[in-house]
Amino acid sequence: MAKRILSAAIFGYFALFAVLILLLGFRWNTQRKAPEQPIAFSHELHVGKLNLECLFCHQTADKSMFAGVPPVSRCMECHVAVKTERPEIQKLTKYWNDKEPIPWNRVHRIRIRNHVYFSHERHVKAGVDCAQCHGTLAAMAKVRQVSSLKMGWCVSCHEANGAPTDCTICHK
Amino acid sequence: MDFLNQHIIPPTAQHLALLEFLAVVTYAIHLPYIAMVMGSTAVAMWLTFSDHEIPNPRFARLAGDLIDTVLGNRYTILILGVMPLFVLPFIYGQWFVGAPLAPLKYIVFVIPGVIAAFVILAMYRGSFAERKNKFQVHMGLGTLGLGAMMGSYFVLLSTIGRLHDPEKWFRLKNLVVLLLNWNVIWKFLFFVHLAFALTGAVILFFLLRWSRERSLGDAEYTAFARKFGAGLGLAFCFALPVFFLFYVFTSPDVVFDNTNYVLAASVVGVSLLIAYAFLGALQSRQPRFGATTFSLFILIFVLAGSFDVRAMANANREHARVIEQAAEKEAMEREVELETAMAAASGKNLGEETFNKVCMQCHRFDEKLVGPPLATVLTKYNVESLKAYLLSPVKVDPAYPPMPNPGLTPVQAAAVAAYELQHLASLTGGTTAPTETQTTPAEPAAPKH
Repeated sequence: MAKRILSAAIFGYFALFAVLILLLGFRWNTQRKAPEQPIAFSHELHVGKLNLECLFCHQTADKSMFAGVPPVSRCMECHVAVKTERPEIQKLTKYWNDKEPIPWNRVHRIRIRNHVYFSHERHVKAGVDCAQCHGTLAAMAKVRQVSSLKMGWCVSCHEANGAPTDCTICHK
Repeated sequence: MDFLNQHIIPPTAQHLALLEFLAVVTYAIHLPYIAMVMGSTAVAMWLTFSDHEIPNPRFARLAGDLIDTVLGNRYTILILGVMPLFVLPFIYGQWFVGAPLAPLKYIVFVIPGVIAAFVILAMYRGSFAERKNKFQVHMGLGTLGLGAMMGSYFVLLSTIGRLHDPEKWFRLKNLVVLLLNWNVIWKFLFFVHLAFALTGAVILFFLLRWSRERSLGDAEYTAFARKFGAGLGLAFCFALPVFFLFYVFTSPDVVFDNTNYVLAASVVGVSLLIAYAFLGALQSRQPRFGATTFSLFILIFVLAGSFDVRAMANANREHARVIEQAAEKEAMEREVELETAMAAASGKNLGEETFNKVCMQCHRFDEKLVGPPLATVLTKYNVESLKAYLLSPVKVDPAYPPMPNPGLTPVQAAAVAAYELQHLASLTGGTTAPTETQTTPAEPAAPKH
């Protein structure tokens, strides 16, 4: 009897840790994994192969807080004629004909906000390369969040580049 | 590293996968040996010290057996202990070819430290017979060798751990910052506890099973060694899932995918099996489960090594993709060369073929599609300037989207340029037909806005 209790106790102890690790995995899978998108748009193709500028589609990145998702009309400038036989482009055309925006899933998110203010405009105008935070988009078929967007990450880059590190620079 | 980089051909996806496999194999062979050496040296030192304080012949005998068995002869040290270390810079050097500030050079710094540690440990083994007279020299050598070994492997694990976190590379200017962080500390503590638990399996396997004749006929010593080994292993087994959980928990998000979580959970699962095997060895009257525990430990090293290598690959998957693209580009250029040769041989027009396949997606000669009608814009160019434009297009007319780089080779671009201008000339009557001989070098290579 004592032997069985001992075996069960050992099993319970190890199982606890295995379950904790799998729970971490579940949390990652629901919150941190690169999200599925309604259209399999590939940055690898458009940025890597075709060399399109970031600002060509994300037009407000140097003009506002938000980089902005391009309007469907920007896609259709080319895809009215280019590769119209592909199923993903036909999905795009359907959104265009239905006059609906594409319901993209958000990839980048500051998780603990604490009144954090971040402006794309300031960073683009200061000459920060998009890849510094967003990673090598030219190699991403599906976009994922590369940087943690945690405070330590922000501050270490501000320090390295001589940008101000007062609390009120970011926390408004 | 630039000198080395020039000698490395762009690796393909299969090549990178092979390197990852090789890294796992290297870890599975090398790290168990190092863990055995570290663990049994520490245990032997503790046994010798206890024997010195209160004489205990069984302790002294077990210490002697451990020291004798584990380090092996000079070939074992060379093959299992030193040579795999020279493989690592090649694996990571190829994987991280062209990466900015990959903290690779510290892998090389580890090698002399490990060699020194092995030399000192061999001296420590040699001084065992004289431990009574020169106790402090003996223990000093052990401490020094063990310290050098642990220091070197802290640096190695730390360096490899930094490869999992490319986001922080840009601030790794300080060596202390590079080496010290919680993630690495948890991993190192996991490794150290694994080494002690493995020493338990070493006693059960190498001392009581492999070289059985050594302890045969001495039932009392056999029973002592079995209980000591199984108890040691079982006790340290309980620490393994704790440190591995902390290691997983402090790893950056970018290293994970579903497979990696399954690998991490199976490390814990295998440590459960090992704990049961040690328990069985503790409770049975015969020396048993030696081979079982030892092979399960090798499995843990394979699983944890796979976790680490996969973490490295996940965190740097865009870097991997970039070098794969370089290989794909080279392969494509070879293919185009072949196509060019075939087109020339069969009398087909390479320019026309390429134009129909690539340019026709956006351009017609007489109508506006995505880009402007070619008849209106081609008049500005000759063959040379058009070829230059095709190789690196720039935005000319704000009314149209920018022309993406069509990805032509110089041969294709020249053929397309010649074909377009000839075709235009034939459309407009052929009176002003510009031919390939009619180049005007005075015009700029790339057209201005």
